[in-house]
Amino acid sequence: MIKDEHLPAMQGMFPSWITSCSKDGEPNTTVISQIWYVDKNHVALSFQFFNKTKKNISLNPYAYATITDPSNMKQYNLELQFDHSETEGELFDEMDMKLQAIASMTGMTGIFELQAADVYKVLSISN
Amino acid sequence: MVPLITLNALSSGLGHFGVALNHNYIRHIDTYGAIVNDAKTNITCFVRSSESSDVLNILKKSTKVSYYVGMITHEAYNFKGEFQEIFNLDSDALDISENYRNNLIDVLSGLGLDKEAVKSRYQDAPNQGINFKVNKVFIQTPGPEAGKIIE
Repeated sequence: MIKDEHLPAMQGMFPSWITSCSKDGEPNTTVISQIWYVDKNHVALSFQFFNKTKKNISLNPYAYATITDPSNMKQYNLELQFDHSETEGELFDEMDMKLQAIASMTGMTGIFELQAADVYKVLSISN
Repeated sequence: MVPLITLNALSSGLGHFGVALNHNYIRHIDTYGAIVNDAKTNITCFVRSSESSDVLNILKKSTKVSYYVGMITHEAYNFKGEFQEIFNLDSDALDISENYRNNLIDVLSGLGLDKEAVKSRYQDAPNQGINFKVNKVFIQTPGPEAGKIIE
C-alpha cells in the first residue's frame, strides 16, 4: 500500500491534514505536524492535543488525511482506520524525540507533548 | 458570526475544507483563499473544481462542514457550519485569490521549500466558491486554549 514515493511526505517537513467525523456526522478538519510511516499498511499520528479528533476517532475510527512531499509539493490522500494506541516502545520514543525537536525549533516546548502514538491502518492512498 | 480576531488567518492562512457523508466517507480539500461576507455570518472558500468532485458530491447530501485555517505562526481556527451554495468565482474573488496565492508562495518558499515546486502547487487559480454559514468557531492554536469555542 505505502510505496517509497510516499515516504518523503511522511517526514514532517510540511504539515499534514486530517478530517475525522463525529458520531452525528459533523466533520472536523485540522492540521497535524506529521504522519509517521510504521509499515507498508500502517501509519501513526501523534496524539498531542487535538482532542476533537481523538474524541471523534474513539467513536468512529475512520479518518481522511493528506500528506505533502515537500520536494515537489505532490499531495497524497489517505483513507485511514484507527487500529491502536501506543504509549511506550520504539515507535513512541522515536515520535516523542522528533516532536520535542520540532517544539524546540518552533518555540513550542512544553506545548508539543506526545501523549500517544496512534496507529492507523491505511485503507487507500490516492493522489 | 465570524470573530474579528480570525480575519487575518482567514485572509492569509493555509485552509482546508472538510466534509463527511457517513462514518467512513470523509473528504477534505485545499482552499486557495477565502472571503467573509459583510455581515460576518458566512465564509466563501475558493476551490478548484478539478480537485473537489468528491467534496461537492458529499455536499449534495450532507451540509455539515469544517473549515480549518492556520498560519505559520501556529495561530489557527476551525469554523463549523452549514453549506449554503457553490458558485463560479467572479473577477474580484479571483484577484483576492491571486494575492493570497502569491503571498503563500512567498511565505512557503521563504521557509526553504523549492519555489518552483510551491508554485506548481499553488499558482493555478481556483474557479469555484463554496459558501457556508458559520455556526461555531473554535481556537485551534496549539496550547491550552485549543478546542475552546469563541463566543
